[in-house]
Amino acid sequence: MFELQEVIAQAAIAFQPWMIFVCLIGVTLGILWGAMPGLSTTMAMALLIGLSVGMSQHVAIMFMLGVYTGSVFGGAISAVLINIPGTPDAVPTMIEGHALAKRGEGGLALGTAIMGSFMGNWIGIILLIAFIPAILFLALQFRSWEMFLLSMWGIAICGSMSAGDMPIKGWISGWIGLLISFVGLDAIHGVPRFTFGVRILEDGISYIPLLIGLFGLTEILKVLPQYSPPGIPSEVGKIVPPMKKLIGYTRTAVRSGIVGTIIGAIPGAGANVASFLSYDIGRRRAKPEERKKWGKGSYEAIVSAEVANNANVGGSMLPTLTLGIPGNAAAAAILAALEMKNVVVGPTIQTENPGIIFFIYIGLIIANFLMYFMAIALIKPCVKLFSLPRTLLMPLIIPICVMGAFAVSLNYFDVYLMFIAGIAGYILHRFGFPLAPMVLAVILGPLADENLRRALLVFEDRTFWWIISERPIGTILIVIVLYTFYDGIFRRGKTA
Amino acid sequence: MADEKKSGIEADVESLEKGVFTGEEGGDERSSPRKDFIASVTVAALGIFAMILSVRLGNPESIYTAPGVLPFITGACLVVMAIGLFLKTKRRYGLDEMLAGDSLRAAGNYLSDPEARRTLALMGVIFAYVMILGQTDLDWRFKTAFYAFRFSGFELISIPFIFFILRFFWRSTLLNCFLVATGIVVFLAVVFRDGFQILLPGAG
Repeated sequence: MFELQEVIAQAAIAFQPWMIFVCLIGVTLGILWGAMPGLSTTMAMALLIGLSVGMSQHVAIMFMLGVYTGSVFGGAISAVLINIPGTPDAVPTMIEGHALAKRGEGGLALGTAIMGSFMGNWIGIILLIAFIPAILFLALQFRSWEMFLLSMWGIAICGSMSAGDMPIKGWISGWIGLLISFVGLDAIHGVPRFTFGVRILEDGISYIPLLIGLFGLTEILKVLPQYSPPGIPSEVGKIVPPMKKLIGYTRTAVRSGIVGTIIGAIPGAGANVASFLSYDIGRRRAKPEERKKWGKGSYEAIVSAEVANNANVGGSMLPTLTLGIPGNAAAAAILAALEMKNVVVGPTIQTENPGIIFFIYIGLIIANFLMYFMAIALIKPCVKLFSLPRTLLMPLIIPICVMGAFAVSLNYFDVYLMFIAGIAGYILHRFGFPLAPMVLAVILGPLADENLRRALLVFEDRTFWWIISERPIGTILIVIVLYTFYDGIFRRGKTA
Repeated sequence: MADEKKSGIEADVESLEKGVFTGEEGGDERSSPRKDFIASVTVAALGIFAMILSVRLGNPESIYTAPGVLPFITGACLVVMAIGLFLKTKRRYGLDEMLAGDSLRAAGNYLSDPEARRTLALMGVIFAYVMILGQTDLDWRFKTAFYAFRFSGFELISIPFIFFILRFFWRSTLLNCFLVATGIVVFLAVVFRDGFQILLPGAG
C-alpha cells in the first residue's frame, strides 16, 4: 500500500509537462547524437552530464534517461541509411538494414528497428522492475568483505568483457583506474596518498572529468583527424512500424530481450556485446529458410540486434542502482549524474532516497514512448544531418568537453584533468587497452579500499577457514572472481 | 584514415560472421608486439612505483587499516599482469618480433603518417586552448532593457580556437568557419549560462 502511494507520488512528478518536455529534449538529443557516425552513446552521456548540473534532481534524471534511451536507438538510423553504424552496437542492424534499404525497403527496415527497440526497452524495464527487489535483498546481506569482493569482481569482469581476446589488457586498464582512485586523502586516517605534495590532489580525482576526457576528447582525437566523406543516404520511403510482421518474431524478441538485459547487468558488457551475441544466437536458432536471409537483409536479424541493445539499457541499470556498480560506461554516466544530485545508489537506495527507484522506472517508460514517436519523426531530419562532414561536427564538441568538465565543481583543475584523461585515453586506445574498466575502477576504488580495510580489521583474529565457512556469500564471490580470471586467462586466451 | 575507420567496421562485421567475441570495445587490432612490449614494461614500472609509494605511506594504526594496503596490492597485481602481458605477447609473436626495430625509426614512421601528424597538431591546439582559457578572467556585460548580453573569456578564447580547428580540418571558407565557430560558441554559452544557470570557464 505504501509502495503504491509512492509510485503514484513519483508518477505525479514524472508526468508533469516540464518533465516530459525535458525527457523529450533528452531523447531528441540522444537520437540525433546516436545517429551521427562517430558519436557514441557513452560520449553523449559523458558530455551531457555537464548540461544536467544546473537541473534539479528529478529533471536531471529524466534528461539523462532520455539521452540514454534515445542514443542507443539512434545508431540504427545511419546503419540502415548510409551503411555506417552511428554507434558500434548497430553493426548487425547495418548488415541487415542496409541490404534491405538497397532493395527499397529502408522504411520497413527502420520501422522494424524502431519497433524492436521499443520492445527491447520494455523487456529491459520489466526485467529491471522484476529483479530489483531480489538483488536489493541480496545486496543488503553484503558486508564489508562482500562489498570489497563485489567491487573487485566488477572491475575484473568489466576488463574481461571490454577487451575481447586480451582480457589482461582490460584488467590492466582497471587496475590503473584503481591506482587513480587512491589519489587524495585516505578515508580512514586522512593520510594523503599519491598527491606528491600537490594540495589540489588531496580532494581526489573526480571521475566525471575523467569520463568526459576518456569518452569525449579521446573520441575527438580518434575521429577528427580522419578525413572521411559524408555518407550518401539511401531512400527512406514510408516508415512503417510493422506490427503484424513483428508478432511473428515474438519469440526472437523475447529471447533477445532476455539476452540483452542479462548482458546489460554484467559490468563492462554493454550494448555492443548484447547486440552481437543476440545476433549470433538468433542466426543459430533461426529456421533454415530464414537463416538463408541473414547477412542479406533479414527482418528477424534486425529484431534480434535492436531488441537486445535496447533491453541492455534496463539491464545496465540493475547493478547500477542496487550495487552501485555501473553495468557499462554509459551507465557510469547515469551513476555520475545520480551521485551529483545526491542520490546514494547501492543497497540502501530505497531507504536513503525513498521513491527514486520508482521515478527511474517511470522515467524509462516515458523515455521509451518518446523514443518511439521521436524516432519516426526524426528519421528524415537525420538524413540531412548525414550530409554534414564529421570535420565540421567534431570541433564543435571540444567546447562542450571543456564546459562539461568545468561545470561539475566549477574548478578549472577538472578541465586540465579532462585534457590529460583525453590524451591518456588516446594513447591507451592506440595500445589496444579498453577504457571502460578504468572508469569503473575509479568509481569502485574508494568502495573497495574502505571495505577491504574494514574487513581486514574484523578478520584480525580469525582464521582463513573461519572466513571461508562463516561468510558463504564472500566465499561464493571469491570463486566467481577466481573463475573470471581463469576464464580470461585460460579459456579465452586459447581462442586468441 | 577513413579506410581505417571502415576497416574497423569491417572487422566488426567479420567477427560477427565468424561468431568471434571481440569485447565491448573491440579487439586488439590497433596493437602490435612492440607496443605490447612497451606497455608491459611501462605497466610493470608503474606497479613497482605504486608499491614503493604505498610502503612509504606508513602505518598510523594497525597494519590492516594502513592506507597503503590496497594500493600495494594493486601495484603488485599490475606487476603480475605486466608479466602476463609480456608472456602472452611473447608466446603469440615471439621475442624477436617484440624487440624488432628501433624506437627512433618507429617514432619516425609514426610522424610520417599524415593522420598522426594531424592528431598531434590537434592535441597541441587543444592543449593551448585549455591552457589559455585557464588563464583568462574576463566578463563583459551589456545590459539592455530586455536582456543582459555577456561576453566572457569563454567566448573570447573559444571562438578563435574553434575557428582555427574548423579551418584546419573542415577546410571551408574563412567566413563559413568564422560564422560556425561564433554561432556554436555563443549558442552553447547562452544555453549553459542562461538556460541552465551554469558558470562557464574564463569567468563566465
